[in-house]
Amino acid sequence: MGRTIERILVAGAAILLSALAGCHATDNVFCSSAGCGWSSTDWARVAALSPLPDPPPDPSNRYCNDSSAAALGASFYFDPGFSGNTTLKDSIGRTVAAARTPLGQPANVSCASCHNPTHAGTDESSVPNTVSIGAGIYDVNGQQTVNAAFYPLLYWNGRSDSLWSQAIAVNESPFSMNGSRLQTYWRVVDRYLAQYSSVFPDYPNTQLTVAEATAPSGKPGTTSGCQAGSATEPAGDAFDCLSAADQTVVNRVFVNFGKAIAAYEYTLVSRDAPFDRFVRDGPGSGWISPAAERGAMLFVGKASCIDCHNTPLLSDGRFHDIGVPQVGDHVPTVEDCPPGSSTCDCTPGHEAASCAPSGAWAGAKKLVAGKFQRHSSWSDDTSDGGAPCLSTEIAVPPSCGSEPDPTLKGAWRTPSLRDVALTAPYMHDGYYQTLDDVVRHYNVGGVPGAATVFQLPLCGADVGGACMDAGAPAPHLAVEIKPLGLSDDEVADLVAFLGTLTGTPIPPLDAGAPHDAGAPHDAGAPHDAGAPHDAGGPSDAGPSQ
Amino acid sequence: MKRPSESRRGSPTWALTLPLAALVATQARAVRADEPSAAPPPLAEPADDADADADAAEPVDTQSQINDLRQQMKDLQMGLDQTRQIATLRRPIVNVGGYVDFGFFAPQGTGVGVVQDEGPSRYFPEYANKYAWVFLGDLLAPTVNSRGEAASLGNFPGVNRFDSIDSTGAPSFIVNEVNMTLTAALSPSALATASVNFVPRSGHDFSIGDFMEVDIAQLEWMPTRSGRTSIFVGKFDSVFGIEYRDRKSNQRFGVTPSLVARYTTGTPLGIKFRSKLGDEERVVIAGALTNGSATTEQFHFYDEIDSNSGKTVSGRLSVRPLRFDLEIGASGSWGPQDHALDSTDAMWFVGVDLLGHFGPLDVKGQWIKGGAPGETGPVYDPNHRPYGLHLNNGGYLELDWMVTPFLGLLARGDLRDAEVWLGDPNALSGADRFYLTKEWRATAGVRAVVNEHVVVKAEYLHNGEYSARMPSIPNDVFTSSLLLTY
Repeated sequence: MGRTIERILVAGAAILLSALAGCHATDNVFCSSAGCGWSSTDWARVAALSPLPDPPPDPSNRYCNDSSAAALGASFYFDPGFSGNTTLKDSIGRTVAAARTPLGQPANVSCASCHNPTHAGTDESSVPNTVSIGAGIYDVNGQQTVNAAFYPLLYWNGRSDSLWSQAIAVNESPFSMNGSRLQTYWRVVDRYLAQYSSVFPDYPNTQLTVAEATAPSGKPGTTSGCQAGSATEPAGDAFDCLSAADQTVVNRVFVNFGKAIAAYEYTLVSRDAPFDRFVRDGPGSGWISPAAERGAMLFVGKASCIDCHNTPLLSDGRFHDIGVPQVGDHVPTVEDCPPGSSTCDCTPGHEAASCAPSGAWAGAKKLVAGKFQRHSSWSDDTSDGGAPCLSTEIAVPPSCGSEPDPTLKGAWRTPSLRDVALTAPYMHDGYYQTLDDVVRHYNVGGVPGAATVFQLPLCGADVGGACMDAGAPAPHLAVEIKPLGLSDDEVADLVAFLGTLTGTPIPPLDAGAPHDAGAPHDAGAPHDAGAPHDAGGPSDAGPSQ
Repeated sequence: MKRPSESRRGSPTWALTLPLAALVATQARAVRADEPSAAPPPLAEPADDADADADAAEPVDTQSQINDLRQQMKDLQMGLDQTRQIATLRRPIVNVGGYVDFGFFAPQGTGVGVVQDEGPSRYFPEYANKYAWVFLGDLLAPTVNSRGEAASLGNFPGVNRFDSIDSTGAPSFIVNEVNMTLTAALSPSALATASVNFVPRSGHDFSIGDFMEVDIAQLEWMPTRSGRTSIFVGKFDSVFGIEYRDRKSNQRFGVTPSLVARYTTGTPLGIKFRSKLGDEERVVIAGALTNGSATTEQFHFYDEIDSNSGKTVSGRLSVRPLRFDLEIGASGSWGPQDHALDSTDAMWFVGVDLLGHFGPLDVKGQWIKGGAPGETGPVYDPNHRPYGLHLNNGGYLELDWMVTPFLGLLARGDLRDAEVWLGDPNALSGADRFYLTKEWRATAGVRAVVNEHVVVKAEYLHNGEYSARMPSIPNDVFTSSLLLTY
């Protein structure tokens, strides 16, 4: 008995001494393989967020990784000559007081105006910057073009399934650039023909055949067929009045214009953020602060951010209603969109594609109706199955169905968090100005009532009109949006972590812009009414030069 | 082969009641014998004297004498009562006992028993759109002491728990609890017991983490002369299964409780009875009517003060059918769900158990199953929404072997297959959280009895997940206990 007690005492003393003497070495003994403070599960989740690979190929655009196409696309990207005149309209057709230039004047905006590549591809020039301002006023905050090549679906509402189709859609948007495909055709032919022909040798036919083709601008009207001189059709319906062959020529140049821009955007990738180095070298490597490291644990743990902000892009590319109010200057609300409206119809339970506040619901309808889908005849690989269905759970066609998933009402795309410290304001309508605001939004489970806009009342004796059965699938706040219980310190840690996601800045382009080549199209048209794009730089692109 | 603490095992209240009652009776007699001599002489003697005097003395007012005598009797009775009261107060009627449980533990990893199933590579994607947060594993699996406290509860969303140990994976010394047990024999057939635990824990943000809890506050009354039936009122041990008998550190052979102890070793409030029947008391029946279930305060369900009108009925029937010491029991409980604001839905448990003593070897086993419907409907009320439970299977088998009077060995295998959720997954907003457990555990332990006051115990718990879809969670625990009883 005595000897046993003695042994126990010796063993206890050994434990005590090792604890006292071990210090950091003792820590290492008891830490997990992932590192002190890190569980192997959490570290595995963090490690899965870096590094950012190359963007996935787009089979519909075989030029997406072509450097010559990228160079041409860069010229297009910074050229305000592709924009039309200011409309002073917002996204649902309401007249607005001001845009970048007076009504009817050249808007003089390029892609870079609202998507500055040296600043994560965000909008720094719109004032106020909650939503973007071009020829008119947009309904959403400008999204990043840096890292845009990683998304399967583009726009906050996912209405485009390729970068090139997104670029040409923006070009013709009356409240964005308000350009037109005929204007783009002429701009390319007049100023970029040699470079264009070099990049796109498979499409040598850039010549139109009929006199009407001299019209400086034009795009498809709302009424099918040629309505020559119609005041309600764009540019007197100049495009619709082209021959089918000429329309094809114009459309091909227009599509290739988009594909070149997409090729340039494929080069806009944010890399080598402090977070990437932290993942590469491991916990305690010193690349990020202790607060940021704690924030990283929260990101993959208690805060549950990786439910949506996952993959190295830090976005799942999907669509969620996270309880952000649909409010703000020029942000259309459901009340702005009465049933039957031709510009924005948000009939409860039967929202139209024009119902801008419905987010991805409208986006899904527009995606299906689009003429330049990834699997259309304009694709470089028509065997490509096309984009996934627009859904909170992205599925593969043809299982998409005729009607969008009702949970898409009020849902918006998960943005990437790379460079997020540079992309204020935040959320689809710029509702929050700081990252602290954003984290606190999630911490309290969203803004109360914000997600009930598209939620029908439960059917019952005292409910008239549209309703839904209890338990039936219905549009609702994403289930993940519940109060998290983060402390103030934890909120600060998360914000510190988000600050480590800023990558090495995209370098400015060289001033020698090949888009100066070629004579301007002198048809006296507004397509070149903007200031000639000189070597001095990409107009209002800011620090890109 | 009897361990020093063995007398406390089995039926501790029975074991204590009779000796204490005898002690009280003896002391009461002693007090009467020691009463001061100022006590008046027997009334008969002055009465005889008075009669004699009356014959010889002058006639007096008889009624007046009677009144004087009555007054004298009244004064004497008052004095006697006061004396008895003083004597009673001087009696040592309360016994004080208890223990100090000091330990050292070292968990694996971060000491957390669950992982959150989240992100793009979920183990159970089918729960992704039903629950805000899904957790895999067993939150209480990395247990470090007899209280059932986990090495760390982790830092998870949507809940601000009191993480009593919060080791974050570091090895640590710990005072598991300091127990004080007070027993008082109120009469030869009534025994009051109170057990108070003092638990020193870390504070946080200038709050004091130490706490005190009363886990037993009961009155046991034995209404029959045989003493084989007891009625309890107050806060008492449950009647479900067998593990409640050694839930305390000084009763337990090893260090840690089983994975299902959380359902059976709580101390509910209410009324309980127990009767031992037949020759050699081979049949024991017990029943209780309590505020809530017998879940422990470590667990979500525990509800000390009832929040609904309905009460929980529980009971156990055990038999010893064979000549050797093998007890087989069946238990059940049924009642409104703890924390529910009404008595609509029932939470229930059923189980079977066995307990055998074979010389130096004890065999203990228990299997349990249970359920609770949880919340239904679209209304979300996080403050009063009960948890739902599917305890599909749970149980353990334990072997306690005293190799020598000094040294004992323990081996235990545990299983827990359960789903616990908060909120209605079918409601429009989904449910808050979901815990999926497919846990097994193997425990090996050693016990050294230094003397009747000192016991040293150590255990290694290997926690594993038996479903192929579950991630392997590194949360083994080494833990030990130095038990000092007084």
